[in-house]
Amino acid sequence: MESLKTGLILICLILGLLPLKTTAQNTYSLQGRLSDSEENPIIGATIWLPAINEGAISDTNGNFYLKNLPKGNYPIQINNLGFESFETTIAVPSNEILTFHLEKAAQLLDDITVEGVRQAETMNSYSTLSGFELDQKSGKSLGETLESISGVNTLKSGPGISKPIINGLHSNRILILNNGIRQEGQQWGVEHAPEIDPFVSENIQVIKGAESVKYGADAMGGVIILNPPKLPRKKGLQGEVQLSGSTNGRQGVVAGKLEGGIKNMEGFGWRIQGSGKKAGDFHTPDYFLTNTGLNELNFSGGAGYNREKFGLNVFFSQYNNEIGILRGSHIGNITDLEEAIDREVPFFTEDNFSYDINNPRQKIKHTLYKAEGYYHFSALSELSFQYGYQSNGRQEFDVRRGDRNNKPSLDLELNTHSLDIQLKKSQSKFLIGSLGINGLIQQNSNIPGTGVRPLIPNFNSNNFGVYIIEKYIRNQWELELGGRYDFRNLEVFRINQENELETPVYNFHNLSGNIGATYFFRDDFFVSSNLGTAFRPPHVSELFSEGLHHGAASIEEGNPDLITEKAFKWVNNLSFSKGKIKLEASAYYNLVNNYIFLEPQDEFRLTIRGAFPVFKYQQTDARIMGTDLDFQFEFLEDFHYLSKFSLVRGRDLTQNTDLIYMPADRWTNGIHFHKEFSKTIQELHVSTELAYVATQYRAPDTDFTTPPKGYTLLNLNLDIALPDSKLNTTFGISIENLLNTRYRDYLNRMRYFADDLGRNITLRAKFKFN
Amino acid sequence: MMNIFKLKHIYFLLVFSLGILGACDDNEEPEPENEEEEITTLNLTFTPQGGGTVVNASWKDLDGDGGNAPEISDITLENNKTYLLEIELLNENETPTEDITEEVKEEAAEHQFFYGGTAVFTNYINVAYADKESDYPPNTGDNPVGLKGTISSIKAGNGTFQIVLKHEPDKDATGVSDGDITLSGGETDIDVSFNMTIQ
Repeated sequence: MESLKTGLILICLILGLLPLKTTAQNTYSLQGRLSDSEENPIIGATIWLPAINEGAISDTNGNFYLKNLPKGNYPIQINNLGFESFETTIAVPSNEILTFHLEKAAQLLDDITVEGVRQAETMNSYSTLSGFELDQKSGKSLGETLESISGVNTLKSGPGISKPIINGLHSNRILILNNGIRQEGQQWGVEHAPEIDPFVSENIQVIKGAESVKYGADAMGGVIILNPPKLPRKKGLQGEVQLSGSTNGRQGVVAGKLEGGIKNMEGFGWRIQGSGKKAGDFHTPDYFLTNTGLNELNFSGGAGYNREKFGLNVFFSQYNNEIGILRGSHIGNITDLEEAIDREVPFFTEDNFSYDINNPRQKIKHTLYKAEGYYHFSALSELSFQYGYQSNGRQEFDVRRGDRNNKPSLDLELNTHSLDIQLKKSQSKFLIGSLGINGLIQQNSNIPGTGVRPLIPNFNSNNFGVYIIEKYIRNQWELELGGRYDFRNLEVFRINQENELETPVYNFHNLSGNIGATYFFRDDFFVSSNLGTAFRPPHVSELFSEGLHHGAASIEEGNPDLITEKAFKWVNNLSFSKGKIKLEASAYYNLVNNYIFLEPQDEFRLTIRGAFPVFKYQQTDARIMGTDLDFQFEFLEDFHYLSKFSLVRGRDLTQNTDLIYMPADRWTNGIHFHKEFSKTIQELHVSTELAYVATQYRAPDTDFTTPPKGYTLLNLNLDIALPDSKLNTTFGISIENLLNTRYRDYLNRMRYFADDLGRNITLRAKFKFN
Repeated sequence: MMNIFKLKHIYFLLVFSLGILGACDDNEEPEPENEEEEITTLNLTFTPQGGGTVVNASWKDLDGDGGNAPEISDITLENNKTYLLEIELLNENETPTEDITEEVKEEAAEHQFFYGGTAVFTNYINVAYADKESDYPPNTGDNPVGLKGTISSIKAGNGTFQIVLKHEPDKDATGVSDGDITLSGGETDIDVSFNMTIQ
């Protein structure tokens, strides 16, 4: 009878009769305690579940608390300085308090896993996507993958280009750490998406707070941290293959991974990984979005030798991408733009689907070489370093006269060397300190031969930063204090209107600081508060860009007198969990002084293409504040109600106007069913979600059109895991925009020209073997 | 707080980081980029049918977008006359001067001029196309290009005369081949206006 009832509710869910859903899963919490053989608590030990990338650190009483655990059996690894590492398997859920005893080691520990967890340590609010939740997004771009986190939105330019927004800020105002290295691409452009393949990562963290002390310039809205899985350390070959196919865009994605170790050489491990993606013209409910296809081919490889005392790892990755830009969005002047906006269906819309990518299009290649290592001076202090070299190539092809269509209009190469060195030390029973140095050298070059005056000039940039962070953990309290000094030297090589070389030089100095505290009422009920400063020296594009922006039919002028943006972000966070209820709430207040923005000028400039509005980069004081809420309630056994709410308010305090491109209010409600069955089906997830996005009423009147109306989308997900000792298989189906709703999103620049995407059905499969 | 870290550690960090970062090279001086597709000059020639004074006019902006304002001449036509209009496009920043008209002729199927302004819309003049794609081999189409047009002055007065060049317009859309720009789409490569007097 019970199964019949469950079946009926399932059918209802699949039919969408219960119009609610979520992508999150049913999760459990576990409590445990660590002690040595004499029952003394072990403080600051790392507890890690590699299978699902969850972990914790034991507190001053040796207690730890694991959250977000799906049902199942998991290997658990426990590591601490001065103790032998400990591995066992645990069952979730469990009502018992786990108790483990660690053996004292002569010295040293397995360090690699420690790093993985400690990166997440922050007094700011943060969220992690991993395991099943990440698999559900397989094949999506980084921006789209992170959309399910409350407080994270995407700024899009059509279906192929999406940039993450954290708490209202994006581009150079957030920081992306790809495999530990600051991602350095041409992030200044709104149509420049991060050059990252999410398949490389096994978990992605989003820290929603100013984190400049740890990471340096730009971490103003938040930080996105992509962590690849740890390299294997023992012999044995394992791998996985992921496939997905979607109806909209007729997109196909293949991804694979192979890893192993070497016999008789414990500590050595290697991995190769690759993914490919192809899509053609995407489709709104009514018409094709002509020339929105994309091709992507990415691969990476890594190898490392890791022992207790020291370790050395090398990594290589390459990202190749070609993206078509909606043909109807390419315009010549403001009259064209107005005509394009007035049209129902964009110009150049074809009746038939095509995989062809024509101009306008972008071609991007991002290569990363990385080496990292660590060394333990003693059981209590460790030195780690990482060096990265990134080369970013960006070519943009416009619709041009003559035989110039194969000649890029923009051809940039950005090369970046970075070096990070950190010394971490436990200074007493309660105090952990880190001292670090970051250096970064960057060179931007325009490849000659475009036949177009460069949008941004060549430049060299040298950066140096030094920081110290102290963390104090005692009883119910965790306190963090950090300080940092940064220096940036920027040398610009610019050809002016008269074809003369100008070489202005800028030097930026900056001090930043961070203070935060967390108080634990219980292990599953805590509040934290963090006040951090962040800074961002003006980018060369803001100092010196000049000329016509074809996508926006406007003339943009740089301002060589800009100074550094400075932000103060205060984040308050509450995490509460009791019985069947779970609540995460955060509220933030971000004050950005010298906020750089494009100000419309009282001038139309006459050119041979017609008259264009002129925009100039100016500075003001801005305030961005808001709140993110996540709520879960298990209202029936295995049935969870999930709700996510986020609100952002952005104001220009000097002119007393709203900031442009601030996310509209969002509220997502869903029901998630999750059950483990017998031997034939291990796990079943069914979820339906109703995502509501409000109209953005708080927008400045300098936009070309008023913001589009709010909308509600119905989404559906189904996932089945089939167990096997040799081959684990997972199948999934997702339906986005099930009702084929016509809508336009304020944060998608394609909204001026076309509707957003119609219904999309995706089939997914994942095979994991070992 | 600094003393808790041994000095030798800090020294080690400094030497190590400066050593690696010192080994990188600098940017070379960039080359000026020629603005290849720039159109600096649009010349109009009005040749009266059956004899009379040829009228020339030009729209010139040698330093491109921004900088000095463009030089625009006025057009004065005699009333009740039919003129053959010929359009020439130049990039005078190249040496020797580049004739962009040739590029438009080569891609006649992908280009079309439109004639507008108050002089047209309030019927001081009538306009019509006087060429088609096949006039510019190897193009073969019958659609107009507009490098040549017929201008008939029918009423004395003042107004504006506007010339628009569209790249990749939809010439098959309703009205486009008759000179109606409304449904043409494409990108505007040129959009200039002249003062026009019919006397």
